Amino acid sequence: MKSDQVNAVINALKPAVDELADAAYERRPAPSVLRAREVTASVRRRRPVRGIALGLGAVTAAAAVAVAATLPSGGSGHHQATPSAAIDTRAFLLASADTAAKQPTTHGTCWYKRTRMSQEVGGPLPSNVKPGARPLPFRASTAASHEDWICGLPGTTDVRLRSRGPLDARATFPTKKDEAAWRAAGSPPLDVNGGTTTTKPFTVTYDKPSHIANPVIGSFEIPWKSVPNLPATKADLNSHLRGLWQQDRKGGAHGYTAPADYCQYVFVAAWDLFMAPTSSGTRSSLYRILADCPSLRATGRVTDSQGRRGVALTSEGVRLVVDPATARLMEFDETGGDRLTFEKQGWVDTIGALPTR
Amino acid sequence: MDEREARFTRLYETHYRSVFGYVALRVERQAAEDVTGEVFAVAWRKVDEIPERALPWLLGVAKNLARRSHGATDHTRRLVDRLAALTDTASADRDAADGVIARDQALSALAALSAKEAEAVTLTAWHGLDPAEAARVAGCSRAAFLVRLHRGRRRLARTLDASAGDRETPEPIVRPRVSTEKS
Repeated sequence: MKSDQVNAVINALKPAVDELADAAYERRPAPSVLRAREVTASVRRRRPVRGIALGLGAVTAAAAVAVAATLPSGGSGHHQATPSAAIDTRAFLLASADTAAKQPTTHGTCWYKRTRMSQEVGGPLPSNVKPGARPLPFRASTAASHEDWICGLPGTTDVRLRSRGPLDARATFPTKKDEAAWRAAGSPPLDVNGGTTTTKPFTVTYDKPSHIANPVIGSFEIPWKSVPNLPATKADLNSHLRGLWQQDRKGGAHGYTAPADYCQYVFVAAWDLFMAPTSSGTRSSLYRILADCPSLRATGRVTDSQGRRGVALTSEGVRLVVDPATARLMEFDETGGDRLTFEKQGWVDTIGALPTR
Repeated sequence: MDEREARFTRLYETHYRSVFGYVALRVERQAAEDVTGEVFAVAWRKVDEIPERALPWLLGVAKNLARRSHGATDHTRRLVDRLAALTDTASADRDAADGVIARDQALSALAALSAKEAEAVTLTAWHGLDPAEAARVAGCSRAAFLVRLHRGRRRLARTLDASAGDRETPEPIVRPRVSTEKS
């Protein structure tokens, strides 16, 4: 799918919204009416940038989780932080670096991942929305999983992709009243990633240029086949990332200019690099670089959507949940938004196979 | 009409449709015109503070007012759901089958995106904001916004490819397709 085709699809929806806007424009009040209107409340101010709060100094992994009375506030509501443990961010990141370094670096033909996207929905399916109908008065949380295989193709930069889903689609309701309202509305199917709660799972396999799977650092795509070969020491990775950051500071592709804060650049890059099949050395080095970043905070122990315990790292409005036992990414959570849970991932030798561990 | 009034009127006439289009995806349809009016009431009070590039400023106000207007009980209703409801309504009076098919395909693809990804895609595609402006409206850093946009577009492309690959007669554009199987 080319970029202009994606644009065409997005633009296919614009005329209908424009029609409504045109109709509203025709009915708009005169400017003098608005000038005379009293504004009833001030506009809500943007939240201030989070403060920096860090424990300092190298400490042991055992000391990374220290007993404290309270946790920093500001959770998304997805996770419940344990109110008895405050995390020393730097210590936790250094401990995770050690843990990551001890993980075996495996290889295979295809990278497998099973992910589960959870989201909030507040109404019926588009097909159930009749012209002029009011949205139904219920709220729900839905989730569904997908399995993906990404396999490098010999002799090319292309990849073979296989995707299967939506799997195990579920809906839950915040209150019995919401569920009753949903049933009263005829129990309509609800949105999940890639379909609805009643969509039968389907499998699609196709070959594409690898950019569809490449992780991103700033404006740079990392070719899929080179991901396992990214620098595996802190000094080398830091030098590599700084080089890309300095180029992006001058202006990268698609109008992108890197932030002045190098740590911010690295943290955003880490989202993709932790999700990709990077080597244990690269992941370890990334944790060590992040450990030097004061704007990153470990905000507490949390439980992911699978009920697994992890530690939340928060910055840039994003929460990464890390498994302390493996230093693997468990969940990616945009604060207040959708969340992506990594149920399983690893290398396999054939497309369609599942990792053994 | 003094200079301030003239500027306000220009802003109002120029940007009303864009602001309404943004607001309509975030509040109940019945409230969209009221919230749009409130955005411009705020704009009049602060007309001296509005930058030359006014649309990002107006959309930022719209985002805050929509959030407040809509209340915490409904803030999670997805942009795609709203878009579906709005476009269903708008297309009911039209007799353009191709347009309806394109709309349904687009809606289906957009539904695969997270709400924030969908916002990023529509902010740039429909409102013509550059990444820094769109990031301010979305309430995140420029870097985070670009990643969100990149992910959204990539997921959109992938979803469209997958849905094309699932057809009995694939579009030439999705070749080479290796196989398609129902499980």
